[in-house]
Amino acid sequence: MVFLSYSYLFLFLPGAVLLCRASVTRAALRTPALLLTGIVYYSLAAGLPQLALLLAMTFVTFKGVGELMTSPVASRQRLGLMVVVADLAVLAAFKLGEAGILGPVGRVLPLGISFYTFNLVSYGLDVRRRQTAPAPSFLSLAAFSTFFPTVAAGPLLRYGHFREQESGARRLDAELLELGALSLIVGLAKKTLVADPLGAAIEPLFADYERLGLDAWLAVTGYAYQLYFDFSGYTDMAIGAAALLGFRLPPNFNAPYTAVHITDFWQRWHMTMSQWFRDYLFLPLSRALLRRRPSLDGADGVRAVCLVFTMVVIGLWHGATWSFLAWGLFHGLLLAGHARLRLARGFSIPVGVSRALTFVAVLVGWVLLRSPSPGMAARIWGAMAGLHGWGASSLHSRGPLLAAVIVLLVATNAPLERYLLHAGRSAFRSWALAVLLVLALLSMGARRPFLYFQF
Amino acid sequence: MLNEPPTPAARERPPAASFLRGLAARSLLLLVAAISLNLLVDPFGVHGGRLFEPIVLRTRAPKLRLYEQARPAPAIVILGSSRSFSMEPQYVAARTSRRAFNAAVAGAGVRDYLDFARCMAARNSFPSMLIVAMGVEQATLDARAHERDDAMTDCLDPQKAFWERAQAYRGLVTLEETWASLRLLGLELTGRPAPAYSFGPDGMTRGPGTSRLRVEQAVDDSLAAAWAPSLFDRDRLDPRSVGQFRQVLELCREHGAKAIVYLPPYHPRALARYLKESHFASGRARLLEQLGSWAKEYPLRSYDFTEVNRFGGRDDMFEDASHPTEEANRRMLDIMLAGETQGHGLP
Repeated sequence: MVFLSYSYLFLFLPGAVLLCRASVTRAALRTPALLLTGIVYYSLAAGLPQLALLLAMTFVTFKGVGELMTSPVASRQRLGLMVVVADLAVLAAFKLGEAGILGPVGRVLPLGISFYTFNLVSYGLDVRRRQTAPAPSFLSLAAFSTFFPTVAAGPLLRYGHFREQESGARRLDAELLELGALSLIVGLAKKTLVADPLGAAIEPLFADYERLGLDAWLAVTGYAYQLYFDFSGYTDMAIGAAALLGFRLPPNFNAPYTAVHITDFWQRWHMTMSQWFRDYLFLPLSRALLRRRPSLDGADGVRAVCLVFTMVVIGLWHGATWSFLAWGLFHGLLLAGHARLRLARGFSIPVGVSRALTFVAVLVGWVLLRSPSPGMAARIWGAMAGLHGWGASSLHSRGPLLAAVIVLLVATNAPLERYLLHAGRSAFRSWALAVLLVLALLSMGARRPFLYFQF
Repeated sequence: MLNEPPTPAARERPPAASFLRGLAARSLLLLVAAISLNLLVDPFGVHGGRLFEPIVLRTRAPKLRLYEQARPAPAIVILGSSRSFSMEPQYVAARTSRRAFNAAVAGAGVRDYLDFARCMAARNSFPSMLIVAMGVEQATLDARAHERDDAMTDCLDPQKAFWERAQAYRGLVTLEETWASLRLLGLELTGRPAPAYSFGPDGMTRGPGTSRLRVEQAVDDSLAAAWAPSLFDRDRLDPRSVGQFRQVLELCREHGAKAIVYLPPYHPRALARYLKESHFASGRARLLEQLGSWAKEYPLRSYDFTEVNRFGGRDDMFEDASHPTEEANRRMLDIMLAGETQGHGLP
């Protein structure tokens, strides 16, 4: 059972909402009810063996953090590290297994393992840093790790933020219900009406990539929008489902293709992941390096090294393959380069130009994510650079895709999404949303899996 | 403070609950409208509305319906793909003095032959002879055209569960069917073109032929698309197709029927390319070898007409790379049915 199924939308979700809303005023039932919905969802979506792994990792983290709190101060550092390493080791084993590095072991990546592992790691580190209180019970931590709106593909959560809403009197007013319903509709429409048709349109181009010429730009731009609408559609549906349960989730996207520089892009794209790596890897690493290696060209050198390292790890978090590693390295170098440029005085570019340059840089990076082999990436880059002429296809045959990409270019730069989600409650907006919902429901038959489920 | 009237802004903004109720009502209205439209227009002809002629060409259900209506039941049935559409039952009847029926369906795979044979067996009207076209592509691939086909499914599985029957109505809530309904309504308003072809009571195709001027172009077009040499990429027989064909032969043996299997011809220009650029030759050899081996086990004889000189054909006896004309089919039938003439009238 995934978000894009009638059984989820019309059976599971209403049932879960009713159960959680009925239990919200009874403190003793609140957490068990939430945990029950998480367990039912995950076992239906991923199966019982994967659920057992998720609960086992949660249990180990809960016990480890419990030990941490009762142990002498001197050994807390070591214990905290052990809990984090244990969680990350499981994740790494599956990532390497999926890439075929460990032979037949762990070939199937458990659903959402990258996301729930990071949620558990952030919990362990936050408790160790005393930024959040330890979970009062295993049930509470399990409700957090199995939280069904986010367990499969984020957004990444912090336990403290979750616990505040889980234990406190959740707001279950009509405004939150409205946010939930509208986010669900917008997310569903993004996935079924934009991402999936776009994916179907560009698939033949990438399948026949050796015939691509300058039309590779069209294919790669189409892929960029497919990725954005697919992942942000999923996120909107997660935010919507959580809001129906009375939770407000952090935003994960903020019009990323309008970014004016690459740092801005990473502040707008998969925001909860960027923040996670900033808080738990980049900043601690920078501080540690500054303390121990002052020879690294001062703070700027340290920042550059840490940026590149963090981005490489982000790449590998997506999968242990050369393409993810190269993609992370590419963005790390861009970020380090941009940090250097910002320091250069008297250097400025008009906003429109810098926005276009940023978009092009992001597109060049997406080629790595879409290419299973270095040869394919090089061939597509060559085509984009004009080394292979115009391409085998005529402009006429690419017309509909070109039109779709232009519309999306305009739509993602206009506040359309904000209008649908937050504008006044007019009859026109209501009709627009109703049309979107019905079109999305009618399109659900031809659905494809969410792209980010593979991570 | 509590008795203060609401501000104008607050008065203008309807409460969230009322907005959501309005949204739900509008969505429900639109959804019901879409479902009603699809039910009434029934663009694919699967819900039984029949207010309009379906928008798509369907061959399996109409052929089965025509076969069931044929009285008395035909003694000879032709199974094939669109390549056998122009094989005339009347010509077969004239040569054999037995009633014949053309059960060829568009984009047929061996699975379709088996389904049709099973339906004939289920209706207790299994013929005494099957003439089966077995292309090399059908033997090496387990592929066939997807066609929504409730009549065939009902025949094969009359005890279908309620849930499976309900699945047929799944199309009512799809964008594909809604779009097709709107297109069909548009065509009805603007005047729809005549169908490419239809089927007579004996299953024979009635429709306009291809003009001679267009044939050479049609060969090129089909070689560039569905009938490209890549169709014969596999040099081994597909095990599922082989298994399904064996079941057809089992049914023949069980019902005391004879099977005449032929490898239909290809346009000489297409065949030259297949032989040069694909595994066609090895696929054909394996198929002939398999047919030879079955001939020892089942009441079967086979003919290889892949090359036009095998039946005295010419390169102008084609409509494109793979579809022979009626004249070509007559010549093949002359060879296959030699010695099948019966001395009495039609049964």
